[in-house]
Amino acid sequence: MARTIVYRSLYAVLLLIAASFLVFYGMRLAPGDVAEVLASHPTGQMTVERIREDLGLNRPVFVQYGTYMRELLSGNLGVSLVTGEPISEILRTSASYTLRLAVLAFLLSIGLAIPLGALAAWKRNSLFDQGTMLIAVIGMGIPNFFLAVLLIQLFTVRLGWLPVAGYETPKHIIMPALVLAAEALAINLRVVRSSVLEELGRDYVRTLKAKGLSNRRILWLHVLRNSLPPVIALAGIMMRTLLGYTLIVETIFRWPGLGYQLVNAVLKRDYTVAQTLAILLTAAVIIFNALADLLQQWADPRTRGKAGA
Amino acid sequence: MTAMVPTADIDSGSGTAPLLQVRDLVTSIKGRKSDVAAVDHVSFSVSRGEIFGVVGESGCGKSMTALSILRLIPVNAAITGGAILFDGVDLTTLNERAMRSIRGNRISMVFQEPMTALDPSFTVGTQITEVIHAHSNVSKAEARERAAQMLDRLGITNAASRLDSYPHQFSGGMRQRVMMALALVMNPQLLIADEPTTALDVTIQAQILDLIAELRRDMGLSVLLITHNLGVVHEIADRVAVMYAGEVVEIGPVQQIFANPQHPYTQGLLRSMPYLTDRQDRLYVIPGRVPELRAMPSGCRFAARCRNRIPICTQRHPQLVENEPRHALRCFNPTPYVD
Amino acid sequence: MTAFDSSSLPPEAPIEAVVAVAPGLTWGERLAPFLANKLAVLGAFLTFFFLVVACIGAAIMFVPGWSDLYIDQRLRETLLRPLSPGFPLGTDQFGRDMMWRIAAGTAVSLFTGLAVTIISMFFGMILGALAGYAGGIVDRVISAFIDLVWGFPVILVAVIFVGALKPGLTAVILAISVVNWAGFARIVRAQVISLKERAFIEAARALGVPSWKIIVRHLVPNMLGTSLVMASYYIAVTVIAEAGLAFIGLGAQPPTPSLGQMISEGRNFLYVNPWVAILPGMTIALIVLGLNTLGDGLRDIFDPHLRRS
Repeated sequence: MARTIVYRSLYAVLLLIAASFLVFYGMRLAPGDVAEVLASHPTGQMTVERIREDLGLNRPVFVQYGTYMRELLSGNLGVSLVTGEPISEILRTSASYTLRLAVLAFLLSIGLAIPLGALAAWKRNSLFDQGTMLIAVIGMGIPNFFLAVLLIQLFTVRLGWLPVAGYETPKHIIMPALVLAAEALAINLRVVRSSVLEELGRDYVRTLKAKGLSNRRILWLHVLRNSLPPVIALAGIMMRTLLGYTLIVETIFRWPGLGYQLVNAVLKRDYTVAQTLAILLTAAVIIFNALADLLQQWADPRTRGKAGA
Repeated sequence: MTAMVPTADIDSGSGTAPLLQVRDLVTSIKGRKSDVAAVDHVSFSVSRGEIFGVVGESGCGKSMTALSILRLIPVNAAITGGAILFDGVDLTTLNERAMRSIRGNRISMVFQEPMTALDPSFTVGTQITEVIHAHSNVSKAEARERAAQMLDRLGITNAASRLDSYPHQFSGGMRQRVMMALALVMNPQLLIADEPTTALDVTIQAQILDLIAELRRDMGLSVLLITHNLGVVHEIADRVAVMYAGEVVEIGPVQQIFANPQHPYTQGLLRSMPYLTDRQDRLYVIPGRVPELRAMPSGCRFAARCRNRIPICTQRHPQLVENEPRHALRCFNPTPYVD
Repeated sequence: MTAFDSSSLPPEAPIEAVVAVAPGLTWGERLAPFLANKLAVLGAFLTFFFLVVACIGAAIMFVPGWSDLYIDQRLRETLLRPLSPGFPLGTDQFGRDMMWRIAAGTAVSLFTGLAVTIISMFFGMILGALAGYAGGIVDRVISAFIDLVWGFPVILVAVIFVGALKPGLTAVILAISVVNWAGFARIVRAQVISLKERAFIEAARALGVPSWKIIVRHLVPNMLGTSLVMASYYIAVTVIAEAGLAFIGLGAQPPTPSLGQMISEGRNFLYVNPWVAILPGMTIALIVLGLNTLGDGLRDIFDPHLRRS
């Protein structure tokens, strides 16, 4: 297992370097724009050429990348081109918002999917089972931005219970968390149900019954434990997907997290912010991918045993 | 379904009340059109300290009989008739909770597949101790101690350290010993062993059978041994019931049945046993197939495959009749066994 | 469609064992499970219906003079509800006819989906086949690229592309293609690798036939089936991604009509006429439902091994 971790981490670092360079290069494809953004900025009387020189835009792209990464890794993230705010400050506040939203959505999707999915499998073909699966089908079929509109129509326009957007009160997180969790919840429900169903048919379940154990212990300890590998394996992928969706969901609900900041920066051509946030989110995705791989191996004691030997 | 048949209750003749009495047990499987009886009016009894074998081909209802005793039959099946008296209590009338307190505690079961019958995600120690915790109030340390003793008793070396191993770290034979350990750790009165040796290779088979015989001797255990292998029955069982198409067709002491098998089906089974037919070039095979549950003939169920068939066989259903002491069979035209 | 016909394969080909297209079945036999699957028929119907709508939409967008239908503003007839006289689906905030706008938006959605899928199939198949056939270092480089982009959140990539270029359909199409090709490449690579071994044996028997010719001969008919299945799923994914990006302002820019953008604008008028947002949302949901169920049905035909019981 230790070897696997080392190899997978090294590979992740390689991917990180490649991806960050691609993002960096991509964002520099339109450097004219950047300089023009600055030149048009009301506070500055700078010329486009002067800005290019200041930012080192006339040096080879590899050198620029090296400089940028050195600064980034030493924590010197620079300032926003548009507002002049330090990027580290933007990062600090928005990261905590995204973390709150993503963790809540993740817990919501896993925390609801495991008990509901397992129960649906145990009470197979019951009304409860069919109802749960109907929710799953709906959750998977409706694009999240449309679900957001439907929820706003229901909870804000019709019922007046929840605010339409913003971040000021605890109520503000409810709709974005629901929308962010919906697809993951739907997928998890199906995976948990089919995995539990498969485990329930296994021989060891009969042994457990013959041992005189309670149904509760059989389902929630033994069967659930054996049903988890596919769910855990999926959890890594879920984190990554959730991260992607934060861009849309945060923007819809004007939730001031990383995704909202990135989309805004891109729309305002605030390229220093956009570049840094894009590289950090890319890094997060690559790290989640590596974690997902490792989780998948760890979740299964059979492969864990072999890898440890 | 055939008409109700009174069936002889043939016991070991020991005089004392048997530990387990199965009386006219009917277990039905829900079909699309109608229910079919997978176990059809089966009666037998197991005395204290006795090893009772049930033999038959796969699908004859022997496993369903075993599962019915512990009420572990699949969801699409149900016990629809008869009684299962265990130590004087009818198990078919108990609620689920009372039934749970018997399973693994007073009646245990060992299954055929040692590879898959254990939970792969928990150590064998956990799997044994949870039986102890389910049925008694003991400390963790004490449960662990008892689990280790049991593994040691069943011939697993370094038992205490092996408690922390996972099932996949054991060989097939060792796994079956683990299965038996968790079946026997509560010191049950009855062990139901469903094809306990079928998945093992020959030398391991012999070891496990020796172990069962030894436990019976030392612990006074009663054993209900389900198998398709007459050799296994011959080796360790005291009495045997031969099942065919959901019914008992012959029942009696093992020596009598082997020395003088009366039912043509039992005779066929004996003929098809490899080590008794050394003289023949080819293994004997009973012609034809077991009738389907849905299309059970109204006469003798074995008639279509029987070499002794006479006209009445296809017209009337034979009863189980005692033709010598403690030996009964279900046949209109028994003939002496010719090898 | 003769490429699908199993009779075009040599009957004795040992390679039949690995092909996805079940051999020896007539078209009637292959279509039977599809027609028996009511959902698949519904999916085919929905897809066909929206293709027709998309063609009409494309026509009104590109035929000079017809574009008035969806562009014309009638400021005295804004936000009319559906079933209003003259406007079966109502009007939007500028009094534009919702029916024609949805038709035009459907055209943009579906043809974006088609374009992305064709581009990613083209590159995915070439690179996947190359990796699988060449093996060695070529395979490792291509596989690393597949690993890098496969499963990357499409939205994040699209935001980066929009940052590098500018908001609009071009960036969206490029971004989604950059992710989706990897999905095709993985499948083709796996198929080529499994075909390669058998092809070499066959090539050794039939002296003089180069193994790549054998691979191509078997791969092409195989991949056509699998591709159709994957294409319907990928078009659905693209339709959702395009609409999501348009929703947050990074996709198609006005005056190009887009369903996502229509939902986003309609969000502001939920109190007056929620249908302005809900109708385009339902359109997307139905397009996606149609494509997904069609994909399921096609999979049953071409890949009987995957058929779910």
